[in-house]
Amino acid sequence: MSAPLMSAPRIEDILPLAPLQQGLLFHALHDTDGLDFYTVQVAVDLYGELGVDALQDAVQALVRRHAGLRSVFVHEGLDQPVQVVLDHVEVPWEVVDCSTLSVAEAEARFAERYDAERLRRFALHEDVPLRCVLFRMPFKDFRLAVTVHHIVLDGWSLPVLLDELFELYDRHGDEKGMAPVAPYRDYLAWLDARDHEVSRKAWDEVLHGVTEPTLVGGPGRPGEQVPPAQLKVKLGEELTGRLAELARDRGWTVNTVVQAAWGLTLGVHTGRTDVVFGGTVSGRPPELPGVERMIGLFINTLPVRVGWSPDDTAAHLLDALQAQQTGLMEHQHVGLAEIQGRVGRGPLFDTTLVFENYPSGDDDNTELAGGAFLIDVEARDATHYPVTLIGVPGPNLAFRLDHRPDLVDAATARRLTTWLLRVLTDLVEHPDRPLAAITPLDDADRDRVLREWNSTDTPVEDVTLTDLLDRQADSSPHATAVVDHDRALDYAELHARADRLARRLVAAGAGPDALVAVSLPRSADLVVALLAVLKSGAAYLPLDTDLPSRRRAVLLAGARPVCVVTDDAAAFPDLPALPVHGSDVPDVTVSRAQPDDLAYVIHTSGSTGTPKGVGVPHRGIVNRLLWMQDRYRLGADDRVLLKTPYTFDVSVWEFFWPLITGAAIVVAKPDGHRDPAYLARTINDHGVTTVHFVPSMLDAFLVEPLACPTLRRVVCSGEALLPATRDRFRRTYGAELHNLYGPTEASVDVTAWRCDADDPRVPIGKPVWNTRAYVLDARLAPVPPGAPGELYLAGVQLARGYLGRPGVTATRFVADPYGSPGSRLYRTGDLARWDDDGALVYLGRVDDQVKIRGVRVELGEVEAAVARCAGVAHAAVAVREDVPGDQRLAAYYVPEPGAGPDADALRDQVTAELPAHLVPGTFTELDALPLNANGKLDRRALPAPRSTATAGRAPRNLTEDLLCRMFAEVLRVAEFDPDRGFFAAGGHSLLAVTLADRVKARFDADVTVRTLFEAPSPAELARRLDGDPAATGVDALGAVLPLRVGGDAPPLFCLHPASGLSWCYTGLLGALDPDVPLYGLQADLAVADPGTIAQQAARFVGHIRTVAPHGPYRLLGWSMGGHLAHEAAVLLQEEGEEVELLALLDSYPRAGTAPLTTEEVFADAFAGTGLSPGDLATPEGHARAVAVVRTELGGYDQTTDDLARAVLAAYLANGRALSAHAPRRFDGDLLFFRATDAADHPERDPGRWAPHVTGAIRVHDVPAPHEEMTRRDVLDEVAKAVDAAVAKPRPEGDPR
Amino acid sequence: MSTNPFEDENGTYFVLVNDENQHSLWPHFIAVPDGWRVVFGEASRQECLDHVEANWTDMRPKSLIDAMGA
Repeated sequence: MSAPLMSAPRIEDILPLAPLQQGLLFHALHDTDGLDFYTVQVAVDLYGELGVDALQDAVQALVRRHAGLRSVFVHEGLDQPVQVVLDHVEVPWEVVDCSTLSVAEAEARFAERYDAERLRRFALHEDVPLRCVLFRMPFKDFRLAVTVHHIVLDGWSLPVLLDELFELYDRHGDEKGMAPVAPYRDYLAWLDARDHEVSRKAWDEVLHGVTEPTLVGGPGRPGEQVPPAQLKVKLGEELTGRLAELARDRGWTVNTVVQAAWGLTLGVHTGRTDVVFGGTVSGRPPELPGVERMIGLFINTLPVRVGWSPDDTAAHLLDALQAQQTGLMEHQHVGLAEIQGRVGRGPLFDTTLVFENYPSGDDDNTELAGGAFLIDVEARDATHYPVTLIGVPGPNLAFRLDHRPDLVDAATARRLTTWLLRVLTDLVEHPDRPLAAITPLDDADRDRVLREWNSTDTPVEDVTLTDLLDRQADSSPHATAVVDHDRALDYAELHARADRLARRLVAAGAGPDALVAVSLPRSADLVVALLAVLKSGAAYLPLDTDLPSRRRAVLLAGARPVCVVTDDAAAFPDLPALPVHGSDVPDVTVSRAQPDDLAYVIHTSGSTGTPKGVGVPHRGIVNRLLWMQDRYRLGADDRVLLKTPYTFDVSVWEFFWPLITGAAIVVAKPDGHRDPAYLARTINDHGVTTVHFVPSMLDAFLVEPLACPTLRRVVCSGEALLPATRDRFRRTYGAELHNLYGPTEASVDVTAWRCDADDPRVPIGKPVWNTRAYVLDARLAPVPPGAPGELYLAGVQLARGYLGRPGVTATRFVADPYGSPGSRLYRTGDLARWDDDGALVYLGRVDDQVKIRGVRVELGEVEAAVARCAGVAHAAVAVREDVPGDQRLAAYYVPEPGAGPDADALRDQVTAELPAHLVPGTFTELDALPLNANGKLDRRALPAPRSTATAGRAPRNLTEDLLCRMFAEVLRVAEFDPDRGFFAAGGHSLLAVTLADRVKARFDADVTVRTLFEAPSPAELARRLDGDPAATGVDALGAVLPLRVGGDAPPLFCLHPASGLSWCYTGLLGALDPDVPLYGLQADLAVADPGTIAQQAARFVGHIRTVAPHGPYRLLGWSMGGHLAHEAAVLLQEEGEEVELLALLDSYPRAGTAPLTTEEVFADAFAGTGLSPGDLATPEGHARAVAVVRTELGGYDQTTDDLARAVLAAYLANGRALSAHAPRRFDGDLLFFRATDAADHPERDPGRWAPHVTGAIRVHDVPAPHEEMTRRDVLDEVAKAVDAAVAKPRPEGDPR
Repeated sequence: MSTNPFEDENGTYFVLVNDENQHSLWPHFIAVPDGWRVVFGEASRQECLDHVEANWTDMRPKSLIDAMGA
């Protein structure tokens, strides 16, 4: 049978799109590569005497009946997309013969082609949205593969499609006599007639108060989209029966019970009690006649909100959910995009639940006309959501969890399905229990998280830290104990000194459980002092030597030490102060501490504005140190670097672990812990084997890693160790890398992980000896592995509490429901989850506590200090990361009415109160603090901080000037005072690495982070660089003046103005893309006659090609420099090079042809200064002219009168040369910057360049007169325009 | 995350004490763990904290106080 010749299709109808169709069209247009998730496929197995042509006829007849299947979707040039129904189409049809293959080969061929069909996207604007491939399989089997776009058909349409297809087959493709199909247009009309306002309000009500989306998927990786992975589970027949019965009895639908179960599952996954997911509704309005027999897209995905209180019963939740669903029945036609738009928080969910209550897939053999049988139907489709849960009703309720493997890992998907079944089982079995009792945690999981993963009991001797220290001294008296630069102490000497000091301390009142303050710089003496305090029986209280006096007073008043060990007695007027070394050895009785006495008290930031002193008993730290020794085995030949400030508890093991094991301490100099190059040198000089790093400092250390062959182990703690850092470390060093976690309140560290497996994670690991970790929910119930919860700690390492703060202690150290009777838990405020192997993963904070480079900061404490400043009404403090990787504290304040405290005054006041690490880097004034709906501070709504201007005096010379600009660039401030220190201005180690790199590249000098410590201000650094014979420094008068070197982009070359110098272009550094190197080209001022413009330009081309042998070139010039740049551009083009950019700053071809005289040039150059050409002849007039020139050169010290005289001469000679110059023709566009005063001079017309360029002249007007074209703000604009002009053109429609 | 049970400004609490005279704030809706007894409440969070401040004046464990006194 031959198909009738098809005429061109005509338009039968044009319809708008239903809301969900718009969504699918968006996805189809948005992602044009890889799988279109909304490609639906059905494979139908047939057997017997199949009429192949008859089947094709049936497909054509089907498409004749259903207009949607012959629609195309047009959006280009339209405000709203439309679907165009064509009067006839031919459905792509192909027969693939696999009948001669083996069954396996045929199946493989089928699978390959079936997958290929799925991946072949529909071009919805022109393709028939349906295509068929019929496979002839071996043994009279056939398989029909139908591929169709979801935009014209939903799951509910599939059975209709198949029914009709085979009915039409039976009827030999003749549709006459079949019931007519209701048109999609009727549905669209019905949609149109809804009261949308009422519906929108209904949705607003349901979603009121939703503050965050419910997301399961991680951030997407770029790449092609892949088909989802699938997991299938079944509830079981017995439970399915009970579920149906329960639902019937209580008036719920099975769908509602499944929704509740999925909501509770998402609650466990997110640790929340208010979640949203997408629910798919059939969307077929029952009042629409014939709707159930239509093929089309009616379904809609709409938010389902499940919120509960753990005290509510499950039945209560189910009733509420059922009511919500019933109430929304009338409003299911509203588009999701519109609903989400009104909530205004972006996508509300990334998981959907589809409850299929249409028959699918289980058709038994159906006999078709002519001896063929329909054997089996298998459909596949997908959504773009990371997780789609499909419920398939039946005697055994089945679920399929589709998840996108690029966004949701297999373990998460497995957990979600397991939890769903457990929760669903609980709901069916205990509908009247409180929801708190409905949990996916089964007994096995409960045993694992409470007992198995916390089986850490290990016998530890009942001793004090002092006992361990003394014991070691007895066994290795002559081994080296402490190395401090070129000084070393053996154990005997160290202990002898400490014993002497201990006696003096006891005489001053020290003894068990008393406190002795210590305020000393890091040194061997500090080691002696701490050891002495322990020997006196007391606990030590470390105080920073540079603590603001007010802060010191607060700490002392709270802790009440009996005395202080210090070199600076004046700082402690009210306390007996003892130096480390004293001649007297009082005859006193020394009492030894007991294991429950305190060993040290370390202060941490307190949220209410007062620091908290954590008292740690010997028992805790002994457990911690002995565990560490058992785990990492320090030996007599080990050397541990002491680099952590002793006010932070990591230092505790740096001090005492080596001293109880016979190893040695190597003391890093004060401040040395921030300088990676110093650290590497110290490690190598002293054979250090063991070092601690805060991960961000390890990053800095790895920027320019030096070989450290003696290094055996690196211990990280303090902040999250990222896999990238671990990988970099492992590529660089062979040493072990350990990730530890713990708060000061639990004796330094409580969990540990060795980063040695090829494991994508870096968990915080497993609990140490005699320590238990619990991940608990809001009712202190354990959450299952994989679920987030708050981390609680228990065991011997718990601190005694916060000294003198019983109230706060009672809220953080609380009764332990899971330990031995009367034991305590410490509530960390950290979020964590268990992984399936019993490793804990850190997830963040539950409160406002933050860490900046490993140091704990309570924002509340900093806020309190800012709010106490004079003139401040309200204050807020946030951590900003405006530059990736650069976290800083930013303060915001609202002044009291009439008061106007400035940022510097506030900084001074706060600096006087808080230790340096708590002082914000910026202070930004606001009219009011942003508040959220609950009237609380909305930290996320705080604006980017305003950088505080730190400009002081002007730079003295070009080196200083360039350095100030580099400092400003790295610190992201507008200007930088030459006398201000880098670290004082908020610079830290990581930024210091960047700055050192740039200075090193620019000056070709040996500049490291250490140099920045030694010479932290631009002025000091400039003196060093200028005095360094090895450094190239700045030859301010050189022909090529490198203003910025390094960077990957082609450099920008700036040609000098009539002065002959290019210093004026330094201002470009501020805004110019940091990837673009910048060079100034300068005249040789020693030469009296510079020659013609063409000669000068030719010389510069030579210099340019030395720097960059080939193009593309970028040239810029101001005034006369514009002519040089233009001529140089022409010359480069003549040499066959590409000139990518030619930018002129207010530079014009002359109108006249006669060259000017010196007098005329002078008159032009000094117009407005009151100087006349005649003045040059008098010494006085000449001196005034020189003074003017000097001022214009920027007031650097190096601008001597001689230089100014030379510049004046150049000025005049260049002016003459310029007047004799006739520009040639440049092949390209011209970027032109016109000064404000150009309008007053008709001869200053950029159009005059028209004969001298082949391309366009693009004119930017800048707000400055000709003389001020190189002002900083003008050059910022120029730099931005230059960046924009050389930016690579983006593909059309790319909105970036 | 849901509010921590110890941080609910509007919640009601107990004050618990163990044999070491260590004090703990305790949410009223959670069973009191073994080895702890209620000494104050049910009362507001602040009232409970005031009670702790007033009554837990020596934060050393009782066994340590006894040993040092002995």
